[in-house]
Amino acid sequence: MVTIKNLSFAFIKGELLFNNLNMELEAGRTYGLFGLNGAGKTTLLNHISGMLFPSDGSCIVNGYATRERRPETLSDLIIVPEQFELPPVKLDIYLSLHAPFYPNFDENQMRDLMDRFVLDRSKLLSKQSYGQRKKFLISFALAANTRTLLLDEPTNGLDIPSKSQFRKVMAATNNEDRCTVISTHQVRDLESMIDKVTVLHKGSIIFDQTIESITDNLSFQRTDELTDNAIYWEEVLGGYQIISENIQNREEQPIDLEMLFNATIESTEKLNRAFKSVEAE
Amino acid sequence: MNDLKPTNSFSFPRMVQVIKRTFALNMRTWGTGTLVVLGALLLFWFFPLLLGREPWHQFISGNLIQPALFFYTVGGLFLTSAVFYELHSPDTAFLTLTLPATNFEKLASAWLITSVLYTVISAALYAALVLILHVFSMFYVGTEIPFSLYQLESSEIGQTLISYFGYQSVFLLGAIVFRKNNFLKTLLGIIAFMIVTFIIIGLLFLVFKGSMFEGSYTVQISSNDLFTTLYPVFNALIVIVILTVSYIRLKNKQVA
Repeated sequence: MVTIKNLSFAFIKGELLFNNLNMELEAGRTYGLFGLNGAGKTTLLNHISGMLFPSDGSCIVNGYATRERRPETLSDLIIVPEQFELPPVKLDIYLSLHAPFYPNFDENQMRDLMDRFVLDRSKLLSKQSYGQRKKFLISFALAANTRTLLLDEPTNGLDIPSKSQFRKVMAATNNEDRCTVISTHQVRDLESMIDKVTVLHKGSIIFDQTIESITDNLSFQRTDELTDNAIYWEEVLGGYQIISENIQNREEQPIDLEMLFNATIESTEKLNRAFKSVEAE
Repeated sequence: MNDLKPTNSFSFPRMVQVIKRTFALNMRTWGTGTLVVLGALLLFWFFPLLLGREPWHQFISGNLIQPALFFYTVGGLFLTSAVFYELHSPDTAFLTLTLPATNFEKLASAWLITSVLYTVISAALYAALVLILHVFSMFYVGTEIPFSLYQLESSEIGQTLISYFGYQSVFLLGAIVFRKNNFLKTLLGIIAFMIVTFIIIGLLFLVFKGSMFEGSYTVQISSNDLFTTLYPVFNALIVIVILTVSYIRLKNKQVA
């Protein structure tokens, strides 16, 4: 669905942000794209949406390079940026102007989503709060029913009930044809929605595993003392929270995505070794 | 609502939708601009009255067309400079760049709006204004005044239109290329281009004639000569070249 092949890119000549980045995104999955500030998450989404062009390599969506900005590709792809401004028109006007470009746009679904997010139709979009505008854009993106959906920090600026509503809406609108990429810092907000974790660090993908694989290979525990098989640990009140290899193949345990992210940054090799050793067996 | 087929080739209905979108998103700004220009034209009409001259006298003399052409040109170039404003901010660029239409449709829409449609709407507004002022003058004077919509030589209007279409394409290119102050930067670009051209011509004279300012050189253009005939063709060719460059720049536009 989305193929990123040997992608290299630099904002400043000589300072590569991506160096031969490779990635394959499949339909029916929701990817959590994580990374530190400046890791290039937004830049990667901008490449996938065709707003930026690779200096080298390619970014292909549904068989076509996104840099070509073909209408067929763009009508099946939508991005909700983290920072954005919307024009000074009312919601319904915006819909009448933009929805016709998306062949699978579902008006009833849009109306339902606007009701769920309690959006005010009487106000101009430019006069609405950031959170309201974001909810509108998320609703539009979901109702467009494109096969590629890119969400950059979707929960930023949403209040607590809206975050919960967002999770429900995402679950309700999930479909097998859609490839969703969610870039975020707020891992806890989206834990339940993601089925593949991708960590971008210093221009490379340093971790790329499905939730199933993580559950099979890693164990998230709270212990009183540090154990030898701990890959990564964090001190918590009265003990340690550890990530270790799931050698005993225990029952499924809840994944702490925030801790996993920290582990990928600080113990990249050890963590990936845990997956390789199981694959080798 | 979903009547546009996502084809990769040119689609006329999609271009119409892009035009509608551009109009709707800019209506407030353009509406304000139109009111400002109409207000300024009214001032020009009333100005002689303030100086003790009769307004209908000014009106009948047909001088309103001069400021109207001036505002048409300047207003149109301002409008053109801002037509791609969404492109230049990371917060709004996604609206244009990821809009499912071809680059040609986006450019053609912008060009049509700021040249052909703008000219048609301006002419219609001017005609309406003149008609209203004519009726008002007749009512004020109490006698019939001969009505004439455009009291200038039609060739002068034609010249203005040809010049406008030429410069408009340059400002359209400036609207794509420059990130801020598009109007001023394009104007500066044109002035710089002219200065460089004059310097080159001067240097050529220096090389071939021995002095840059020796003697005087007069270029005489009579209304019947070949130059006048070819000028619109030459202008059209320049417009096509500039629009092609604009298309390439739009196609390669990237925003982080």
